[in-house]
Parts: sequence; C-alpha cells; structure tokens
Amino acid sequence: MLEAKNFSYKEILNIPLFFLEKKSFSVLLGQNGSGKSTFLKALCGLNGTLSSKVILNEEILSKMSPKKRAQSVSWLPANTHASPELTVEEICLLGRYPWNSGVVKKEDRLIVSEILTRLGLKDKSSQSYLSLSSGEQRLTDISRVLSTQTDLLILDEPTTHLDLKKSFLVFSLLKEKVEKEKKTILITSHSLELTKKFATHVFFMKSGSLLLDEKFQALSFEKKIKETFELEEELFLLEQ
Amino acid sequence: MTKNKRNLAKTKTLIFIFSLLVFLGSLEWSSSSFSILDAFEILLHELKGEKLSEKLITAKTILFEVRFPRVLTAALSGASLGIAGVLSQGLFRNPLASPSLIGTTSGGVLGGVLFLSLGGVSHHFLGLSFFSFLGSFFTTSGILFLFHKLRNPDFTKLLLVGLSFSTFTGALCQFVISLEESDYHKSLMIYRWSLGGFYHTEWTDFFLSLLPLSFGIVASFSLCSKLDVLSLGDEVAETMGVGLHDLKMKTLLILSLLVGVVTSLAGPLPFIGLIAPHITRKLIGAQHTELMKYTFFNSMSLILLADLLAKNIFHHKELELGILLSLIGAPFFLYLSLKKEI
Repeated sequence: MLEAKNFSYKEILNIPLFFLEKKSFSVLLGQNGSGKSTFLKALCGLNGTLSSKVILNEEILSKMSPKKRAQSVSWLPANTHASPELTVEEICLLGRYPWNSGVVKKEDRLIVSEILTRLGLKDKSSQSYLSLSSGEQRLTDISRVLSTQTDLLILDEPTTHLDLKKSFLVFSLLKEKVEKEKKTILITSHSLELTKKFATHVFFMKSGSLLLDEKFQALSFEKKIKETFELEEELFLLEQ
Repeated sequence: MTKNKRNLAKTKTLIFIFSLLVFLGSLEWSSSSFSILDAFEILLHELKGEKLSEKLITAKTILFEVRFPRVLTAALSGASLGIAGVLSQGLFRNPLASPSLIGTTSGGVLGGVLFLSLGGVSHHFLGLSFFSFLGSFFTTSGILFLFHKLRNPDFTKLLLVGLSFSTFTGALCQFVISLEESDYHKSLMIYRWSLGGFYHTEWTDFFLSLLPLSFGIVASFSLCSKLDVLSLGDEVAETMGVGLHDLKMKTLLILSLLVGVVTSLAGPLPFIGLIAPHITRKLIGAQHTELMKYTFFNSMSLILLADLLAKNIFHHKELELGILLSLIGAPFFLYLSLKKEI
C-alpha cells in the first residue's frame, strides 16, 4: 500500500524504511516531540523534500496530481481549524471536495449523513462548530476526514478531547472501516488499552527513529512501552 | 423543511427586500425635492412624445444626471467592497481581516495619489484605477508574504503589520500631497479624493467601472468552494487538492481589482468590507457562496444608507462618506475586537 524510504529530515526524522500493509490498522506510539506528527505529515505529501520518497500504490506521491492524491490519502491534523460559524454538516461536506470540487450532490449528503449517524452527531448536523464541545468538534473533524472515503487514512491523535466511550467508538469504527471497507489506517495515539485491543500493527517511535530492530521486536508489548516512553516510577500505569 | 431552514429562507428574503427598499429609497430621498414618481412621469411624457414642463425638465436633470448615476455607482461600489471583505477574510482566515485594516485600501489610495500628482487628470478613470489596483496589490501581497513568514501568525500580528503598512503609505500620501502645495487647485482635488465619497459621480464613472467590477464580483464567486476548504487551514487544504499558490494569487488579484477600482471611483471607503460580511455571517452562516451572495445585498444597503446619511446629516454641507464610514466603522471594529475580552 505505502512505502517510504530514506526518510531523513533535519535532526527530526531518520527512518530508513517504512511499510504499511493494505487493510491494516496501525498505531504509532511515541513520546511527545518524538517526530510522530512530522512523520505523518510527510507521508501525506506535506513535506516537499520527503514526498518524493513516498510510494503510494506503486506511484511516487510527489508525482501524483493534487486531485488524485487527495482522492487517495486523507489527513487529520492534531490541531484543526474551522470557521466557527460553519455547521457540522457543512464542514463534513468539505471532506467531499476532492470528489465534487465543491458542487455538493445528493450522494455526498448521504455519505456525510451516514458517518454523522455512526459517530452520534446526526442531531447536531445543523449546529455551528462554535456551539459544540471540544470533543464534539474533534468528532466533527474525524467525520470530515472519513467523508472523503480515501483508501488510506492518516489521523494524528484522533481521540484527543474524547471521553472513554467516544474514543472506543472511534477506534471500533476505524477497525470496522479496515475490515469491511478494506481501508488502510495509520494513527498516532496515547491510548494503550485501545491500541492493544484494536490495532493490527503497532509502531514505536523514539527521537525520530522507528524501533524496528530484532532485539526490540522480541520484547513484550509492556517492555516495548517501557522502553519507548522511558518509564520508571510510572510503571504502575502498565500494571493492569 | 426544518424550522431552521425555513427561518434561514425567511432571513434571505428579508435581506433581499431590504436592499431593494433601500435602493428605491435612495433614489427617492435626497436633498432636492423631486421624487421617484417624477421620474415615472418624465418617462411617461417622453414615451408619449409630450413636451416636459419646466419643473419636469429640472427634475429630469437632477434625477437622471445626478441622482441615478450616484446611487447606482454607490450600490455597485458597496457590493464590491463587501465582497472584497469576504475575500480578504477568507484569505487571512480571520473574520476581522477587512481590506481597510490589512492595508489594501491604503495601498490603493497611495497608488491613486501618486497617479494624480504625477499629472493624471482627476477623471482619467483607467489610469487612476490601474494605479490604485497596483497600490492595493503590492501592499496586500507584501502583507500576506510577511504574514506567512511569521512563526506564529495570529490576528494581532496581522493588525500590527497592516497598521505599519497603512501608517507608512499614509505618510507617503501626505508627503506627495505636500509636494503639490504650490498648485492649490490640484492639492485640494487630491485631498478631496482622499476623503472618499460619491459627490462628483457621473454616468461615465458608472459605465467605466461596471465591467471591471462585475468581472471581479463574478470571479470572486468562482473561488468560494476553495475558500471554504482553505478555512480548514493551509495544510488540510493542500492535502485536499486545493492549489494554495494559485488560489491565493487569484484572491489577491481580484481583491485588489475590486478595492482598487472602487478607490479610484470614490476614494477610500473603509469598514464596508468589515461590517457587511460580519452581519451576513451572523445571519446566514460562513459558507462562502451564501456569505458572498448576501454580503452583496447587505453591503449595498449599508453604503446607500451611509450615503443618504452623509448627504442629509448637515443642512448646508454634505459630509464626506469616507469620514462618516470611519466614524461608524472604528467603534464597530473596537466592539468586535473587544467583545470576547470584556
């Protein structure tokens, strides 16, 4: 599905090889500032120097037309902006832009309406973004990205601001997208329980590098976490 | 239809009817005592081929040579400025970023003042509007460029950049005007123009500006869906296939065209591009196509009402529209920017 080679960028990233399998739900774990967001952005083509090193469906990312790229991969940033007066439905319909160039059709409304129903936002669809709680705003952003219906989705901490139940809802919906609609999904997260329950692949990142060597791979999940996050007295967090 | 949608449809109809009433009202109420009914009477007489009475001949001159061109030009200019406001706010992703606050207007004035002082005749419309356009374009591009260079661009910094550009171009304007001191007539003419207003508007002004302004307005509508996507942020817009450079360049050009042409027609008319889009956003929402459509009507109503007020506020003297708009607009801006703080 996606392959990235020789990813080195300033002092921030140094990844010789990265590979995403089709129909996988991968979670990238790592400390704050370890380069996760920069890495995700580069995979979406937002880093001029690195986007020529990403191969998506056997095509070089930087050589794809902007439209085709937008139809192939969608991205949710860690922090989003939206005009406060736009309604939930209007924001999600923007997710259809790569397909309809702004001319909204009935089909687009159906797609958006179905996703909003799944994420429990249907009865808020004509409310303004400003009037929502921060969790509902995050769910709106996720709905917008899902509305694009690309085969590859890259989401930077989708569950920020979400309570336990909503986080579970998002993870299980993403897993369902992978299993039923053959999507490939890569996210970053700090939710270990949900990662363990839903992810098909887990990547660990430390100071701009992915921990991929055999010695590390042989460790248990808990030991990997301990190593990645340099846990000491906080170890009780892993005990349950 | 849900209740919400029905209310929205009602609001849209009211905005349209209101602007129509203001338009007709502007033709009707003015300092002279002729009414729009006289216009119909004149038309009726002309159609029948009857001779006009003396009173009607005076009425004809006042209505058709003074009032109609003034009201039509003001309406078109107002609509253009409102739409320019929507464009600049979309470009900078901030509802307060109106052309007069980010330096587009003051750039246009500088261009115009330079043209007039370099020997342009006061009504040489094409040259004047071209210079105003250039002034607007270079100032706004400069500000946009600097804004993108900032590490943490926020509105306060945009305002500071805009303020320093406006102060700088303002000082240059005054310098150029001061050079013309020996030519009293010329410096007065430039000074009057830089105050802003429609007191000297003729049919030629309307017809000459009709083409560039209608082009600018139509072209603005073609950018709406891209500006919607841009509201999600530069990077998201890029991943969604919007060519950022292309979009920003087009927006800058059209914005400068609209502001430049209106400035050359009537001098600087500040705050229309702030107030009208703001009201429309509250009433209709932020989606650009709808926002632009109803800002068109609201800014028309706003400028015509302001022009009526400017004409009639003093008994013997007309107040310059630009001055009146600043007097209304500055407190409005203060209110908007402090609303969240207090």
